[in-house]
Amino acid sequence: MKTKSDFIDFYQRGGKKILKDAYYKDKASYQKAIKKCIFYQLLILVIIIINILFFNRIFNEYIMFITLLTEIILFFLFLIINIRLIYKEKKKAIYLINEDIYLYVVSYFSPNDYICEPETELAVSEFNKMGLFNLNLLNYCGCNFTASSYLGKKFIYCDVTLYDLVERIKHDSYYDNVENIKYIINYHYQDQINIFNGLYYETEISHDNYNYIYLIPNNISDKFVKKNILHYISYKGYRIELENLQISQKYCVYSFDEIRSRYILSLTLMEKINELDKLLPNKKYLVFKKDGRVGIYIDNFSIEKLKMKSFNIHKEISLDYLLSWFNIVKKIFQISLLFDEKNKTSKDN
Amino acid sequence: MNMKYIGIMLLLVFLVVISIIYYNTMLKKENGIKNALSSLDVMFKRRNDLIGNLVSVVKGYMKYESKTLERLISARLNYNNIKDAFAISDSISNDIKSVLALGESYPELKANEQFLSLQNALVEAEDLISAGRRTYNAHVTNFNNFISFFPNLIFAKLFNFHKYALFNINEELKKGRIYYENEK
Repeated sequence: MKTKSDFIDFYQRGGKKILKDAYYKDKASYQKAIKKCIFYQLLILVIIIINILFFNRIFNEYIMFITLLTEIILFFLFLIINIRLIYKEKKKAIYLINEDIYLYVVSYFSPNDYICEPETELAVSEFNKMGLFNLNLLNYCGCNFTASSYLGKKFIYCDVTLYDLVERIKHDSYYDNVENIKYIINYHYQDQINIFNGLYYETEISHDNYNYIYLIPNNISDKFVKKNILHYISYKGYRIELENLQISQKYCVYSFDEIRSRYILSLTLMEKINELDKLLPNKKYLVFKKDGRVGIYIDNFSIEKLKMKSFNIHKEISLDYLLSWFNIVKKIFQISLLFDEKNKTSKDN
Repeated sequence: MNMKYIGIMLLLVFLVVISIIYYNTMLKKENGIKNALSSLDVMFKRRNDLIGNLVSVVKGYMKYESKTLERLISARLNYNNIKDAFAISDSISNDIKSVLALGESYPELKANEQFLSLQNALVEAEDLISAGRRTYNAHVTNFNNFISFFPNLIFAKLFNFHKYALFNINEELKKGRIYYENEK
């Protein structure tokens, strides 16, 4: 098990320099943008000063006033544009630095066995393997694919967005005074409704599974999603009431084979799902698939969001900030261990 | 006068419809129990088949623990219906565990591929029986709760539906308070 102190040791031994170099490299474009913006801003200021000092003798007062007003407006316009540009560059730099930190922490957890493809868009085949939502009905996109292993347990995860385009009609009316008629115009437009936006995580379970088991959260707040969620799920099955009260309160369980479902969802595994809820309290969908793997959809939690996490860019990466990343990545990696039932015996049932 | 008759007729129709709904609901719930029972029966039979194979593999190694083997053999041979299996399921599970534990004492047995595959199959069978038991108990609890509440209990009495005993209450089973289709 990787501990915080081991990680600090690892960081002190060589990581500090690596991250420092990455920090300055990622920050360079931001600094360049600041310099560029200051230069243009000063240029306009100089033009205004020259204008005031030299041209007021040549032109009359009215022309001078107009010119100065235009320059002052231009000055503030440039100021707004530059501030926006700096803010954009800052966000980009923060994103890149966070990405480097993330890759560094992942490489610490799984030094020789990881694939990280932050920018690659997921292929359609990858979505098909996920096995919960009916992709004929939904649109999907995703990135930040990572395949790795932690203490011998293999897993993959990636950001996923699944959404439905719903046709909506907007009514608008106007009154024709000439003909004395009221017209109603219907506008058709497509509204994007997110069914799921978060992290898809897949790992192995130790039992053979021959049917799909779905754990659908009870606490879906969006009315549209709540109404349609079962419509979007590929197979469903019958509703099963499990013995674990916490699980029953949080999830609706669906499967076609009740006994097999209870065999897979042993009392131990149900406790582990509860542990997972403590580890990551976000809303979750779970699907136990035919190939002996479990897919976990963690809503409102994605690598992309984590990469946008803000910090003070003017200071070098602090150890505390690095440790916050360590904790997050550890949580993600630990999920695979929760589903490791190597020591499970029939007693558990 | 006519209104009276219509009122009585409507009440009767209402009672008939309600009775049909209750009867169907109770029957559906009871069928869930029967389905779980028949699945358990299949699982017990499968375990018995595996026990037969296990006995033939470990016979030579169990000179000092022949009683356990004898118990397993007799349980296997005397299996007539699921009620027997209910009563002795726990003791069979314990005997299987002690036989499988032999692998630790005899390295040549541990290296035996047939023994290993039987071990895995039996562990899976035991787990499946546990899952089947949980399924059965869940259906029984659901059914028992349903027929205990008012006014459901009136319809349960009317249509002769009885409470089922849970799997783990062996004393209840011995007293014959578990009802099956042929016993009702």
